[in-house]
Amino acid sequence: MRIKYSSALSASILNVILLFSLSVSVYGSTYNTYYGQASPIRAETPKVILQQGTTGTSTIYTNNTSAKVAVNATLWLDGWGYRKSHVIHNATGAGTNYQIRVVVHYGAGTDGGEHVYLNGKCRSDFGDIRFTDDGVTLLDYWMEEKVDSNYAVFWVEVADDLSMVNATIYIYYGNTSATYPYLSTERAHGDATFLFFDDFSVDLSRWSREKTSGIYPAIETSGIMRAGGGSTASPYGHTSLGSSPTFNNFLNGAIEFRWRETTNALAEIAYRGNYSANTGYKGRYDARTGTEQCFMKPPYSGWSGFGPSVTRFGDGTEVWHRGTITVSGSSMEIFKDGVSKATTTDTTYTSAGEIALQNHYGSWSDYDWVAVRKFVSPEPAHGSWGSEESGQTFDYVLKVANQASDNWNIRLKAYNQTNIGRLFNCTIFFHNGGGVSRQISIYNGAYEQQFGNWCNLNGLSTVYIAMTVSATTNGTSLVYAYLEVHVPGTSTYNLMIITFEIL
Amino acid sequence: MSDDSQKRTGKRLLRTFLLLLSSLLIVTAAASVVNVMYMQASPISAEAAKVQFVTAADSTAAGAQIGTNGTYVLLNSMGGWPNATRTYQAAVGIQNLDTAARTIELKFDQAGDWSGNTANIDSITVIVRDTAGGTQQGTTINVGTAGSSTGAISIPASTTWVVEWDIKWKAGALSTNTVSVKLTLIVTGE
Repeated sequence: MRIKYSSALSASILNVILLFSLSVSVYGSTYNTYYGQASPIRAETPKVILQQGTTGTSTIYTNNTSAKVAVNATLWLDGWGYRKSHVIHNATGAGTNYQIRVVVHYGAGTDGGEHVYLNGKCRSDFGDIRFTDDGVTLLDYWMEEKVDSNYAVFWVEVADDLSMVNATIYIYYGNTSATYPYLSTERAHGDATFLFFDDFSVDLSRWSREKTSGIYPAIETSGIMRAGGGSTASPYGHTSLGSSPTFNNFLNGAIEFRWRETTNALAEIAYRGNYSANTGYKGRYDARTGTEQCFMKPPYSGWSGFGPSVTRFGDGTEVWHRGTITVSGSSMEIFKDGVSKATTTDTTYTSAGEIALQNHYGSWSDYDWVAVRKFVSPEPAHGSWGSEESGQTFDYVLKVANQASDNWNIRLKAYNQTNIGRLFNCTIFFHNGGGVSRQISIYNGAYEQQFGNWCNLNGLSTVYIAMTVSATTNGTSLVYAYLEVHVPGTSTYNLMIITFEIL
Repeated sequence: MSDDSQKRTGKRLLRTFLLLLSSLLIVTAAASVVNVMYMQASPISAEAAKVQFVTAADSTAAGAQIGTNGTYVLLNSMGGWPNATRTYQAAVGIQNLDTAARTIELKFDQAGDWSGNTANIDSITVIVRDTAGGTQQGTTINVGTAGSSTGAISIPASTTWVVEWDIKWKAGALSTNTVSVKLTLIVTGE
């Protein structure tokens, strides 16, 4: 009892002290009390509201003062400013990884067939040209030739299966920092693009020197293989450089190459070849005058011509030319500089084999490069080209409608975001028919602009919110923004939340 | 009991009675002795308030009516659109007319200091800034939270700060809904 009594007493004493202290602290100083009253604060009918747009999927929330917009982004190659789509028509048997030729022109013109014009928006050296299928997946390509600020010729390997359905590819351009080759070497581009390729920039390790004459065949200078040692006197210095060490399965396809030859030279391209068995065919670019059957068999020794007799179409002036030989089943065709010189059929050799680069009679034939690609007849045809794109533009995703006679100033201001790193280009802008105002801009995954200039929203008028969006990867990005509706001449404004979802 | 015993008992009672009577007389005499002192407050003057409410950039929009002497303000035109935030960046100013800094505190004192359709309010916050949209002074006042205040903040001499109101009605608020809010400004010192 005594202990309890003492505790209660102590507690009481402490309380008295505490109350006294509080009284001193609260009431011990001099102070003045004013009051501010806000009354009434009204819930008003909104004078500016959000309404549905013509594209995207918009959700307008109660009272039309907040909204969410969902749009699908175009997959876009990171870092590139422009692109055009191009349709490649299907062709029976074409399959996947078919190589097509595209001629890119630096200047202006009308797109059509294999020709596309980039209106001076690509690099003058064409180093920024890229090809994709789905918009972001690069397609292998090799640049055959170019004249700066004029044109460039590309071979593009179309990954999609062209046997049954058309394919759409995109050519990208407009990246000042992009260069070609972007792989280790141009040769690497050729290797990636074709079934077999050599530009003779390294050595002859991909080949077998089957028939030689002196030091030839040999790399004469870097990038040029000379099949030399030819002679107009017997035994004529026949040389053959066969691909069998690395490529021995040519059955059907096209052999593309660049060659030149000297006086009386016979540049010959063997295919379906088997050196040891002395089987296969070859096509001849004969620099002599007169006529002959330009297809021959077998290619290594004891050959004889077959097919139509045509005027010889070789060129002994040592000028570079483009050659092509196409083989499909029993059908064969030979081209010089894109012009068909002869066609024929034969069923003697139906097994796959190597290709070989040959020369004899004249002193030499030079080969700059050779590539083997897929070939079906008819080939996949070039279809339409799309117009230049800089991202996907929607008509408008939302309307901002002023329902009152009051004038306002409005702008968009991003205040939060998720996963915008995948956005190559996301531009949100106002337009009212009389002008466009960029409000929010994301480029290469980062904000270029988080809020826009103030725009007039006059009494009873409407402003449209539109978007241009493209992404480098699949995913979902969110941009949270305020639509700031400002009372002119004051610092009073309304914040309406708009969420932009980019899929 | 003997006669002697009865006499002793009687004496004791008498002495006890006399003792009690004496004590009563002493107590009575002591209570009636007083000293009178006087405290005089004169003059108690009506001073001009050193800190006053004054109009600011958004006072017209907010319907600010400053009371005589600047010690009261009524904001009678504020509102907001449902599910949107209405901001009056400078609904009213607080001006220190003194030549020395003053400690002030703006606060939402108690739950009874707001009324009306408070259930449809998403949030009302009040912020004191040095200029409209400028640096916040003290902490944010959450209207509806008893005791929520800026804390004690020192407003420099000859300085005017502004009071920002941010009002957000819930999406379901009706255009007939209203609330009233009272804030207390405590100015320390004479």
